[in-house]
Amino acid sequence: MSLLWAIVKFLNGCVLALLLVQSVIYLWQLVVAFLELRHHRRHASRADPWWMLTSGVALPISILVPAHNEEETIVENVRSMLALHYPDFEVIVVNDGSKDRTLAVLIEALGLLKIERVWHADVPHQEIRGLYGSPRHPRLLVVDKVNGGKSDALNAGINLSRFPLFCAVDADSLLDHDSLLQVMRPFIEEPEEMVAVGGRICVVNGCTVRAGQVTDVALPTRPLPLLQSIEYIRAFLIARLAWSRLDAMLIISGAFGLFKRSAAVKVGGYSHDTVGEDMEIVVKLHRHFRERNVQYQMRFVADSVCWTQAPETLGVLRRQRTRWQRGMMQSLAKHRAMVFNPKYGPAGTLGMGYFFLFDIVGPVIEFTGLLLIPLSFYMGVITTDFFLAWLALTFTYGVFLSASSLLLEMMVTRSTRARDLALLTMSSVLENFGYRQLNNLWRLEGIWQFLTGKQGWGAMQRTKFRKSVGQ
Amino acid sequence: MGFYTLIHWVSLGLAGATLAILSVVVVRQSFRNRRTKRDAARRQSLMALALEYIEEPEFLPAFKAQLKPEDQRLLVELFAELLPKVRGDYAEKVVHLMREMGLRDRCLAQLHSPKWWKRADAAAVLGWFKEPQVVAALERALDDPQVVVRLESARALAQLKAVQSVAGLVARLAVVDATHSLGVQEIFRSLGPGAVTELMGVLESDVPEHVKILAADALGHIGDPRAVPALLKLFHTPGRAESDTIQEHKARRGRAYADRSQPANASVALRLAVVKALSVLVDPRALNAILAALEDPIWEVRAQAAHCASQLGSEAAIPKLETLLHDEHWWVRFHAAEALFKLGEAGVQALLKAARSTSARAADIAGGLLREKGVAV
Repeated sequence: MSLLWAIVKFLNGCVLALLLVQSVIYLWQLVVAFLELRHHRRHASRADPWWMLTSGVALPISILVPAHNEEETIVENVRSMLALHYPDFEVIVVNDGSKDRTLAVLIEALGLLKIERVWHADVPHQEIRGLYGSPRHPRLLVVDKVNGGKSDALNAGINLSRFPLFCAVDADSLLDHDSLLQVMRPFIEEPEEMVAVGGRICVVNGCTVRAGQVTDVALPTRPLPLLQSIEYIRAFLIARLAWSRLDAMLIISGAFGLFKRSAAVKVGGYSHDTVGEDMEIVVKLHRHFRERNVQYQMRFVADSVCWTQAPETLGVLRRQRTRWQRGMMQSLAKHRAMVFNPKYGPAGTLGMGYFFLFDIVGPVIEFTGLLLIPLSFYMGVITTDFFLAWLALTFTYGVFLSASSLLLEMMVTRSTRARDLALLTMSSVLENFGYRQLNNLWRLEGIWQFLTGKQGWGAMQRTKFRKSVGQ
Repeated sequence: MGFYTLIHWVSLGLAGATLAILSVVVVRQSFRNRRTKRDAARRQSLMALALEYIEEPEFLPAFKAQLKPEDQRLLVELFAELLPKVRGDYAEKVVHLMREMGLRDRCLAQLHSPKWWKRADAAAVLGWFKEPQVVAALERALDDPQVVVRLESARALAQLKAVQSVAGLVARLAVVDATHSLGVQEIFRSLGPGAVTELMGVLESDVPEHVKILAADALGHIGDPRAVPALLKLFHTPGRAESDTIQEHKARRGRAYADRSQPANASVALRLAVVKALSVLVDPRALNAILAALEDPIWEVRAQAAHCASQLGSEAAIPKLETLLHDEHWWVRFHAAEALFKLGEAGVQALLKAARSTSARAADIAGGLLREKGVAV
């Protein structure tokens, strides 16, 4: 009995210690993110889009759009991308062996014809069946290939691209008119060292979309996307910003990221053996340059926005979150030599170390702690007073962090409606009752799927962009 | 104080802080939104008025009488946005209106603001006023402790074609460690023909290689043929590392973690910048240098030289371009094939010959490019 008591007490101690350290790190991230944003917003406001459009400083970009069964949204998205404000760009849509009419709707709507284009296989991918272009849209190239997954489609896009930079954008996402100009800014400041820049992802559900553009920003009215809105704000405006400032950013969202083509080719492009291709390529870049002692930079730009559809049902959200967890674990396992290794700088010690401790070990310990609560009460390891005090502390701290992220949101998005802020505030309180716990459960499920070797993405539901999405 | 009491107090403190933050967020945002809306409406009416008075300057006193004190700020913002989008006589009228309304003097005063972003804004707007006192103020602002203000002042002076000394500009910008940014490159490009002699002097002076690269790039974009001999001289300067690649150079250019003090060897990057500049200048005197560059040991230089050869339009490059169709680097083969195609009938014939040859590399790239361009192979 005394051995069991000691084990329970030890595990409880682990849970408390982990939560305490995590809380301190969150606070630190908050301060770092605030400093970065304060510094950044003055500099960002100096980059006049008109100057960037007309002065010739903006480097040409190939926008890569991998598409698999996207017949609902693909035409509107391609049209929206072709209308972006940017001096020199091409849009390469890669139809990754869709089983629906993705290619057919593109051919019909955009008047595509089969064309030839000479290209070189710098990175591996499945066979290309055909290339399509249109005299009406000289910036557009559509690639039809055998299905090989998102990484494979992006690799095909890299091979077909002819510009020094490529921007990976999800087919169900929308970019703001000036997003490319904003995300390009770090490349103008550091054209040699910059290898990748990430933009911010915002939830489009609830916004009004006209002609492939978000014309009125509003919060989702459904609870699940609303909860994800506050989650995205916290993830991008606290964690991503802080990691970027500390040179430890390990993820550039697959929905919107700008990369130097030559750097991506050097690391072999996107990997096929992971479902978290966005994290994997960033980790590979860190590893490549650190191992060769070459100076490089990666940045996150908070005011460059990409709008994405957040899952509206628990089933789809669960598939997304378990996939994210699996992808992260695959990358961590593949690059385990980097974890806590000072040779890899902040990316290894801080970034990889954090993911290992708080995204792999953390959920397991937290879950164990939850399971042990009844036993701990029974054995007298914890008392009701202690339990309530701790619950109050973690709850108020969680809400405090979410509220602080709204402060950061206000620094970036100057036109948020006060009503929306109040709604976000409310959801930052509500997410503590069930949503966070569910997320933790899905993380554990992701860990289990990784350990049992589950592969694949699982089906994602696409909603046609209507006049108003999610209303 | 007991442990639980402490936790309760901390929780209470956090709850209080959260409430305070949220109240601040919501209240401040609603005030800000109101102000934004008000400003937008005022900007619209000011713009309408300003456009009216630009055409009829005799009514200016009446316009000034209608202004409120805070309108000056909005007007500076409005005109700062408008000026880059208008040209010629109309731009002159806008500048005249700004001068008459005291906005130039406001910006001159703002150059001394304790806030650097205000100084930078002022410097950017002053780039439209050619008066000696403005130029002098901008010259002084080149020594501003804040990098951004220095860059804005340099851009403004370059826009006014009033940079008094390129060497001085180099000296002031070199210390900001931003000389590699494309923004600085753009400043040098906008220096104009008046700076050609000085830029040529930079090429021959004892300055770091990256400054020479900036000067070479600027000379190419300014497009003055006087620069060709100086660029060619630089191209023929001995001492290049035969087996170097651009990446190896960058790794050694004082950018490695291991030894930041290692001397920079940017001769490859410089050679590349010269070939790029010659591609823009399109001068027949560069032909021999470009023919030599087609055999350069660095693949990036060969690729750029192929592009340059097509710009020059000389069929003398065809034999060497044909050889490059067999190059080990795909991008060199691609640029060589493109160059041959652009050179017209003789180039297309060379591509057709290569497409039917037994060399897989040459046949692939030549055949592929011809098919892309719609030529039957």
